[in-house]
Amino acid sequence: MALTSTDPAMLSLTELATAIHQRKMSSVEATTALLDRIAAWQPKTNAFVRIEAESALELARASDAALARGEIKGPLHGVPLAHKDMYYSAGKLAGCGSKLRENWIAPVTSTVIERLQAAGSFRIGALHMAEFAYGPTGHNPYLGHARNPWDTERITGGSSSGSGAAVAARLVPAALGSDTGGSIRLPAHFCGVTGFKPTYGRVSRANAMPLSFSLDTVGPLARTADDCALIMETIAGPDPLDPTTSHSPGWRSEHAQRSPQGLRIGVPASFYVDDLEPAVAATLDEALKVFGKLGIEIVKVDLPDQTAIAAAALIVLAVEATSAHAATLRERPADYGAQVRARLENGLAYSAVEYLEAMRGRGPALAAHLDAIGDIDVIVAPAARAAAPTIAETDVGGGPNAEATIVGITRFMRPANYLGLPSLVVPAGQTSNGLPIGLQLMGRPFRDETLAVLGRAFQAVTDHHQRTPRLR
Amino acid sequence: MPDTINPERVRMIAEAAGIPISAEAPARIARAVSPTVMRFAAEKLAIPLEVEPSTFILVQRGEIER
Repeated sequence: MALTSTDPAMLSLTELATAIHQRKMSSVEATTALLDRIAAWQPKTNAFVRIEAESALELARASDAALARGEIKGPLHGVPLAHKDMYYSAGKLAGCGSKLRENWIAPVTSTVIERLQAAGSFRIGALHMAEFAYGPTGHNPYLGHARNPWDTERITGGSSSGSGAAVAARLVPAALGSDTGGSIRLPAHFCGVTGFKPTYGRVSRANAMPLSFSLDTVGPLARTADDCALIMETIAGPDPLDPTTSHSPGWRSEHAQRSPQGLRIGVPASFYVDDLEPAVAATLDEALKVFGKLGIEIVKVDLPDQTAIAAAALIVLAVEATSAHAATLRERPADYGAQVRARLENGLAYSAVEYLEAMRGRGPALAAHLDAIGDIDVIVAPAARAAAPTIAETDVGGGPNAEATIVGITRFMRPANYLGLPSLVVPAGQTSNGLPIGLQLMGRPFRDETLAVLGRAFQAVTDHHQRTPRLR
Repeated sequence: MPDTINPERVRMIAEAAGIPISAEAPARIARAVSPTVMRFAAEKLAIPLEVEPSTFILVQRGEIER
């Protein structure tokens, strides 16, 4: 494989892993280049909460030495990565974006981190996030807001704010995020990277910080769908520590490598296409033309009422998050940020019957969705109504506009969480002032690989994913 | 199921849960969550007796071998 750049920071994950494996580039060279870039960008983006230069270089040297001996750990051998600061590594800090976990040392390691390390990657630092992953914008009053590399006055999206910013600015080739109500897909959309929210139950959540156990998913943000597939191949599959994965098939590469021809795309007739900013509507139209030229059949589809599904998702999220935080809300309520505390208090409004109705309604809602889409493979829709708003205009804290602002930003996100669907966001356009616009591809349960097929096909004939922000 | 949230209900649930909230919080919370509750209540869900939360897992896993 010929390298597309001699700068390690400009290589995709797949390219970088191959270059190190083929010894066209050492792990130390790659790590040094990324650390230099992080040093330049960190003051602008606040993407990292910790930079672990010394230990990363030590691990890079060990990776190079092992490779020289012919010892290859796996497909990510020698690749430096960083992840949202909610994935535990035993003996290391995991701040979860909160004062409440200041100086908290994780006693165990997340299954997904163990799998990424077994594949040969190591960590170069830890990435910023919304407090306890409970915020869709990237605001964080305790640690300072994450800033969008395309325009540092604008939000990154959240809650995987540092993951979106770091991948967009080419500080790491890929990063784990988590998605309970859009937390992988919103940063992917606002920052112009590719984000993969897997099927609920496809990837272990064991020993990662929980927010809502019925909705939480773990997945990657990277530059390309291929890169996301490489991470998914590493982390997907059953884990005895997370019973929801007991039936999870491992990543099926043969499915992910198939041709996109013969696939059917559904375009929602309403909800996802209502009240879009013109640039977002134009992006959807252009993308559909691209898919059409790829020989993919496109049909209109009437989905069940998505507003009802979103309301049910909000109830499940609110009650489960409040339950998870109940003990801390009793003992240290003042140590939460205003918005997270207000949202956790919102969970006190729902009755047990309402919560259980929302939970019992989930199976019938998924059955109705599958009935509505018939043999459609993927729903294509915008990720949000607009590109990234400013930090100032969305800085609503815990005030009277907070809930409406949050519901507005996450409008197109929540159905995929409630229905447990896999969803891939790919960069697909830009506004007149250069802000990225992403499209959301929602697949069928446990058909995550189909999203990789469509994402790869789209990115083979478009270059939105190759646009890179410039340091100003 | 109510289609609006009464602040008094919020205050009582918080008290029962032993979670301290300010005197102003019940009214704020009621305003914040009422649109969600109203939208959910409008569905007038008629879920069959036999359906439980794990029914979702059954429907979902039916797709694995599809």
